[in-house]
Amino acid sequence: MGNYITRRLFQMVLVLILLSFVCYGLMSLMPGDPLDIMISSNPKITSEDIVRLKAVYGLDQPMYMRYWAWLTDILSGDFGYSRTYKVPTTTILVPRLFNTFVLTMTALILSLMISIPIGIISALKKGSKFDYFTNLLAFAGISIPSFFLAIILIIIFAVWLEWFPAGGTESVGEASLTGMAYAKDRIHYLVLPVVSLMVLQIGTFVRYTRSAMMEVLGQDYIRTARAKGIKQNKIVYLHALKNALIPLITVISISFSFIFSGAIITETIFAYQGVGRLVYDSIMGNDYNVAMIAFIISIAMVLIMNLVADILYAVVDPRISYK
Amino acid sequence: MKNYLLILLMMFPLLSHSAISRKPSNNVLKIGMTQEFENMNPIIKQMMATSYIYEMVGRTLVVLDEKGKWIPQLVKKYPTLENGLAKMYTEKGVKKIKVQWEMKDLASWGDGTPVTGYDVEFSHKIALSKNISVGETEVYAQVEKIIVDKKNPKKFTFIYEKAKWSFNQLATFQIVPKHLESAVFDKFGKDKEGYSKNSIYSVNPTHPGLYNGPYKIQEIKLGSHVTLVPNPTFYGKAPKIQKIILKLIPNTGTLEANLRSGNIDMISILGLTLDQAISLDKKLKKEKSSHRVNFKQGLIYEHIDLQLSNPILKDINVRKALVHSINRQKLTQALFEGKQTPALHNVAPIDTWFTKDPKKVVVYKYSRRKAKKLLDKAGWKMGKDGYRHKDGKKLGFQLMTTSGNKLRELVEVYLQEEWKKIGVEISIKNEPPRVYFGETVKKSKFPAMAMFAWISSPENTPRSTFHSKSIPTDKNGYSGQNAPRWKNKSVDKLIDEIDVTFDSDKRKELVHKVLYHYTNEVPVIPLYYRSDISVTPKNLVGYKLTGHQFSSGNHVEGWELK
Repeated sequence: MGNYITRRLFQMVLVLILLSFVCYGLMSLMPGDPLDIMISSNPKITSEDIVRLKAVYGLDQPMYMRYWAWLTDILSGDFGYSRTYKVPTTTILVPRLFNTFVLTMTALILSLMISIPIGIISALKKGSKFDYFTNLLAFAGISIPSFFLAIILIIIFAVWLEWFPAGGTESVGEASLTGMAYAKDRIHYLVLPVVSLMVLQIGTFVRYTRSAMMEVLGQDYIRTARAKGIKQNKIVYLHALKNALIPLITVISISFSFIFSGAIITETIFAYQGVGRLVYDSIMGNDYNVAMIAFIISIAMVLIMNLVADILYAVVDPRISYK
Repeated sequence: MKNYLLILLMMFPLLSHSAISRKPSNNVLKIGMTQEFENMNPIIKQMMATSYIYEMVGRTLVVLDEKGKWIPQLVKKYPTLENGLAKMYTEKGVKKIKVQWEMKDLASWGDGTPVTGYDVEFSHKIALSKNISVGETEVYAQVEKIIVDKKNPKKFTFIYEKAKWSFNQLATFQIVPKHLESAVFDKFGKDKEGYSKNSIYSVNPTHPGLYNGPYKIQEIKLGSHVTLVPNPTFYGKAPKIQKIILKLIPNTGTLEANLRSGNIDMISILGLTLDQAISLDKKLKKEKSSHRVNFKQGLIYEHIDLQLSNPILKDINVRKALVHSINRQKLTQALFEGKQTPALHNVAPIDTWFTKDPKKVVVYKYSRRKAKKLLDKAGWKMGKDGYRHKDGKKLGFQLMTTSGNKLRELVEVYLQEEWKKIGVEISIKNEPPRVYFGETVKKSKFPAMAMFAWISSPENTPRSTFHSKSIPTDKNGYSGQNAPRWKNKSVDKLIDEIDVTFDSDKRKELVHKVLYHYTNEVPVIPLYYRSDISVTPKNLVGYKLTGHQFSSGNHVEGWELK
């Protein structure tokens, strides 16, 4: 297992470097540059200004040279400067990554805590009113467009009931909050975006849990366990759930891969300062340093979570082993 | 379940019409805006939202007010040749200008340090450094030398490289505090973007000494908000509003919900789109709300560039027919409910250079009959299919604009219908802004028609858009914005003359001559001038939309919530 993990980690580094080059290249290939767009909208900006700005940003160099300069800077610990915000990349990116992590992680954990028990009960009570109702809500959750749900939530809970703020990450302009008061304030702003994300996730996880559990519950060894008089709870949680976990691990690990990628629609509608919108704007603005760091984190998360999933498969199912 | 859904759907319009009745007080005013802002260093800022915020915390030498008049800000007097503060002289055969400036006695930075000529001299040096990403440098580069009076550093002299009539229009000449920033520039100025990365505006943006305006920054979170509090050392009237919070709400669709929920009290000019504003205006009036939507005619000129290298569009009769067949009055009424003004040419009515005198410019009245006559004259005969033909070829053009812009797409459809009535077929091809502006317009690659806007300032010589040297080509690295490829020797000569004409009446005459050629030859189809839009509480007094790029923030100290 140790050798396997080392080999996978080595492969990950190679894939990361290769994909970083591909991402950098694709960004460079995009037609037009925001600097060129500046000249179209402001008659006072001269072509000499654009030539000078391109030289300052290093955009007058060939793509491979810019990539090499970026890569060596990254490896030496210099994450660069944001061309859009005119601050060091870490200044703008780190708080946004943290905010996105809080939002997506909260939504993911709460979704799993709610959907796994509902999926299990639904599978156990297949064909019941509860099952039909759960299925209906799950399909509704999967189908409802996130922007529509977000606007509905804002109208009901922010405009009409005034229970939660319509947007933002925390109270602004008030005296600095600390400790529990700060946590309470952050939670207040998190509720609507978290609910908006959870609705889709719960729908998805309920469907996966239900189908995985139903498949396992129909297996011969479950029938045998029942015939042997083993208690229902033990059958469900010890024998069935453990075997139903494999497809769930795949879905959950994929979901964990995206915790730093941001939920662009939710973040934009709720004016939540996450990384999703930042990355979009960085790509459109050719802000290479910000966009590339975000790409690297996203790619690394996918690769890491894939490795974690593979390891977990072996933990859950002893028949799976890696050499 | 079905019943619940029905109830929810029925409630939806009621919820969105929850009336606004909040009246903010002078304690705090929360302003929403949809555009991102950056580091507040005024020399390197490029985003419009940053300029909007900065105008509340920092002042420049002079500025254009809401009436379109140039006024002094940090300086005592606006220098002109007439008042003797500016003098022309000749040096080695070159006509130059020398301008005397004097800072207001009370003008100081937020830490109490006086604003002096040394700050201006230092800012000039930074702005012209090759290692700093300053967008537009012409405003600094035109000043050859700055001489500060050692006995009284509040007094300083500008020596201009060349004598140009617009020497005193320096609203974009930004000033940073030398006493704070010089150490940073000395240490990091030699590295590419070294100064920008280490400027105090980047590392400690709430330092009071960075700002000389009515407010100073108390808190700034990029991508979220900026909190402003009064600057006690401001030279002018003390602001009445004790706290201004500018919040970024990136989605225009949720601005109204934020306003209704009290999350914001006001929507800045960087907020609603025109269609949203018109709809909100109606709702607020119906609700007798505590808020109002403000519209002010602006300088942004929406138009269609015609590709003059296109063999059909080379014919002036065809171009004139296209303009005659558009009812611009009806277009602005139908699509914008009259909140935007039909355009005659590139100069907007709020500009002192504007004219609609038919003796000076060619005014095209809507006349389908005239348009048809002109096309007949050009040899394009109406066919049975409802379109015109000549030498077996159908009269048709491709109309391009930015994709995803709802208003422009509506205008396209309107024009398509109008031109169909005179037998012209229009095919629409839209591109994402990045491709459209970065490639198609920049390199003049559009085959026939390109619709977009020019952002201008009052009294702006149209050198980059009308001069034949401004035609973008591979040879000149696609510099210039004369995308229609319009060549007129008289216009070139007139533009060169405008730059060196100091008599304002004579200059205006020259501009009108340019406008005559422009309207007569129709290299561009003028559409409409865009309006500035904002939403404010009705109890906000002293607030004035400007219609140009120097926003209402320049008189923020006069705002009051009664």
